[in-house]
Amino acid sequence: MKNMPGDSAEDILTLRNVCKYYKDRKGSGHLLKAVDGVSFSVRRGETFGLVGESGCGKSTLSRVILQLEPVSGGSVAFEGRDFARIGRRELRAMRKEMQIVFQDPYDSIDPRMTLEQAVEEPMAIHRYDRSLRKTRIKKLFEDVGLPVNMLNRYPHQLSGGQRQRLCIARSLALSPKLLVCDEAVSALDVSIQAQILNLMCDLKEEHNLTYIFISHNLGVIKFISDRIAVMYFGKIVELASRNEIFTHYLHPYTCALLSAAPVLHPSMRRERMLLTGDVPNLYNPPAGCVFCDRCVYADSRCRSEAPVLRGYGEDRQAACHYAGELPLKVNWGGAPC
Amino acid sequence: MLNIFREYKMIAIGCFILSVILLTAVFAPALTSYGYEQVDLKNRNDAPSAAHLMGTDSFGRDVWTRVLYGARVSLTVSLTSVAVGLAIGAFWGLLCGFFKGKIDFAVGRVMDIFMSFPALLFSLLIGAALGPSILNMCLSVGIPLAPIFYRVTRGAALSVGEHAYIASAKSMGSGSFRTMFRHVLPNTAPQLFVVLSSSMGGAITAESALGYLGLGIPKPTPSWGMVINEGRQYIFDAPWVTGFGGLMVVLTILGFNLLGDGLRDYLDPKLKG
Amino acid sequence: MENNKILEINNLSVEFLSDGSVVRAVNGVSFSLKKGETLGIVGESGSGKSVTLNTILRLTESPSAVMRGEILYNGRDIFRMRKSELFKIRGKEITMIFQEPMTSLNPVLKIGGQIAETIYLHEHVGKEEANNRVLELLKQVELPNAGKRMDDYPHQLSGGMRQRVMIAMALACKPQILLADEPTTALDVTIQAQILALLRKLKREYDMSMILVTHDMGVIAEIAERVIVFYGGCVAEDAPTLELFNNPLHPYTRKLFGCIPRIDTQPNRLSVIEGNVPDPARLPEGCLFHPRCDRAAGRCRKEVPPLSEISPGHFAACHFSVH
Repeated sequence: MKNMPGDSAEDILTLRNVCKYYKDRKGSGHLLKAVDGVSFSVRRGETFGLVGESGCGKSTLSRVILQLEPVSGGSVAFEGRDFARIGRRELRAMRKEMQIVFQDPYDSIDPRMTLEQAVEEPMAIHRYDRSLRKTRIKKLFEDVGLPVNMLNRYPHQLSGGQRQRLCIARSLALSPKLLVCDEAVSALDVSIQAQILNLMCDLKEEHNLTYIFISHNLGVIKFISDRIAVMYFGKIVELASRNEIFTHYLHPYTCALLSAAPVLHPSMRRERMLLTGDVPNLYNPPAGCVFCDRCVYADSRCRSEAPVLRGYGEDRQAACHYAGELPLKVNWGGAPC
Repeated sequence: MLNIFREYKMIAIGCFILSVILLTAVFAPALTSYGYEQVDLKNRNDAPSAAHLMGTDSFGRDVWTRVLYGARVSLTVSLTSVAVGLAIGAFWGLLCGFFKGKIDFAVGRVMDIFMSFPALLFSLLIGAALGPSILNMCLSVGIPLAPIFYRVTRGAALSVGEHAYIASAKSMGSGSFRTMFRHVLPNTAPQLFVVLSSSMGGAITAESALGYLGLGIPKPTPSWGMVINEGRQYIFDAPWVTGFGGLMVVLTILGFNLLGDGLRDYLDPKLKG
Repeated sequence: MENNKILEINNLSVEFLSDGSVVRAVNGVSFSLKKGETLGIVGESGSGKSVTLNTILRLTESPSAVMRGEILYNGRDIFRMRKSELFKIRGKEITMIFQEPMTSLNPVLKIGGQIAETIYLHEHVGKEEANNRVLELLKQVELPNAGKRMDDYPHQLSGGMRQRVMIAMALACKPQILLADEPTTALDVTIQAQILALLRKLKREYDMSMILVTHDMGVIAEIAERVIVFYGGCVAEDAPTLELFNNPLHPYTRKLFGCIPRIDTQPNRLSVIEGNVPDPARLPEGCLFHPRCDRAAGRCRKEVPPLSEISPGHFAACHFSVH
């Protein structure tokens, strides 16, 4: 089973119309559509950025991709193999190939394990040879920049940055092909965040990784991603290469998101397009386009008919009825210096 | 081991108290010249003296002897019954807290029913159904303890399950049972230790209450509960009977509490290194 | 002493005793707040910025905390005030908003009632007047549907709306100083932009002074007139915002700017500050930044650099900073 024909394909992960619904806890029968009809492919070796505000479904999507939760509809295929169609054992083997790094490094390691045990655990689960484990642990510690003499320490003795390094070492233990980073640097201090981002760039080269990088921070996403998808309310509203999305945004929400980013310099303070209102109620989504309640360009068509994600040239997709026709402009407030 | 004692005074003191009590129970025959059912009607309710270290009870039996032999029964019953309660309660609590959903609902309702009985009544029912013997005693005291352990473990497991390290373990391919016993259970231990040491006292008291109602250990084997109860009628004439019996219970509970708290600290990685 | 300083902090230290070790959260901090000024305090975790802010209202008081120095509010030392005097200032003249709008509202009380309570606490007003004021406040903080929302419970509001309610509560008695502890950190960018715009507007309308603590240079750039950079419980740099961004003098500030991934550039690597943020329980000797500084010399390892005025209004605590 090692060498599937899909191995050579350019896409490592393919999502087709993935949905994840939750039942209302009060039992009213309403469905909470956390992820609703998401389709995209991640190419081997790229960093795929996923940006959106809280509650837009980006974390749920990561859990679905990793099979931590089953999909409610649609399919996820890794290297051409559909999760829904493979057996339990194969699924377990596939877990090796995909790993996740979580946001909070203080919460994602069992406090009762030493650092060595934490990194060894995945290899123990997948029955690696004992002597191989030891050498590999040392190698991983070096790779992520943790001193080897820390092996017998406990997680609480580490700083936030060191803990995140440990989480990364742990997730690399099984030599995965795909690493999902769910807000992996969001809880870190700026100076530490820069260290970890650089580290992730290095590791990607060394370990031939593909990243799905989830963040709400536009600066971080821009720094690390090759292609970026903007998520809003359970749907992808725009997907394009990094440079395109920051200059030729097609969706009004992307434009609003970019406008809201804090300025880089006090001389750039500006009037800007402020979104009114909040993210819509998850239990009571608007009919039509999910963004219509907050969109200044919305008309009757937007309120009745949901736009689909359509292509606009190579590597550019947007879900807006009027994509390309709107006078979208982010006021960056003077020349950045 | 010595290092542990030096660093964790509570463990040292707890172990000391418990081992003294345990040793006296084991070597009871060597520590007394009386038999535990040796009646001496001439010396009823005698105050403590050189002949009778802890005095005598209303039948003229030596209290020291009865306390020594009583430790055998009381320690066995309390330890075994807590173990029974812990095994049943913690297992189902862990299962329910981890898997949630239907199994949680089903087991939860059963536990609710168990809990709606007063523990003593419940013990009586079981005791009456099984008949008097040490093993049945342990069961009838232990089973009513299960819902408490269930509740605490389930609650702790639910909150531990929210941590990202559980999701992290699952994403590594760790199976349900491995995740449950390797990650969830050890992290519920602090909460468990608290109930563990306090239920030890409850078990000793429950045993004595059952003994009082005639469903305890078949007479004439003494237990602490029995000593305390028999002394109760003469509490103003011979307070030493109940007093020394009670003192042993208090010391034992103190020992377990110290040991429990100490162990909790010892197992906490945050207090290490 | 100048009259326009509404708040002056002199040589403030805060230490916490825990398990036999001393956590030196704030180490001799001095700065002042002018009337009508928006002061930004920026720093990483453990830099003492939040502790300093909380100490202004003596919220850090506890048996294990040792506080030294003075905090002069209109010339009177807050540390020497009696509790009754302090309670008159708290919530009336100096008010505070926190990072977590989820946990800083009481979940079992309606929001209108919670705001009214702050008013009753400090002023003798009738129920009707209090209600009218609450409605007015909620309109000022631009809570949509203010009239209806008054009877909502906190959980019925979104994060952004809760922060608006918190701000309304803080403004209820027309304070002189608003202290804001990471007010937008828990919010999304689009909501953050709304809240910052709101704070700017309200500061003007209420003619108050504001101290805003954050870890985000972007928030500073948006709203602050003057910035203080905290590092390891000390002031590393103190300058007007524009001056700080154009001409950072302390090596820490300088490097910090390089660490921030920006949306207008596309570097292959970010510049980094090696090492970790100092542990307040084990602070290094000499300059606190020297273990991470490229330019550290022998002097930096022994001698604590004083905060000195390098150019008019621009202070830095580094032996080697020159304009």
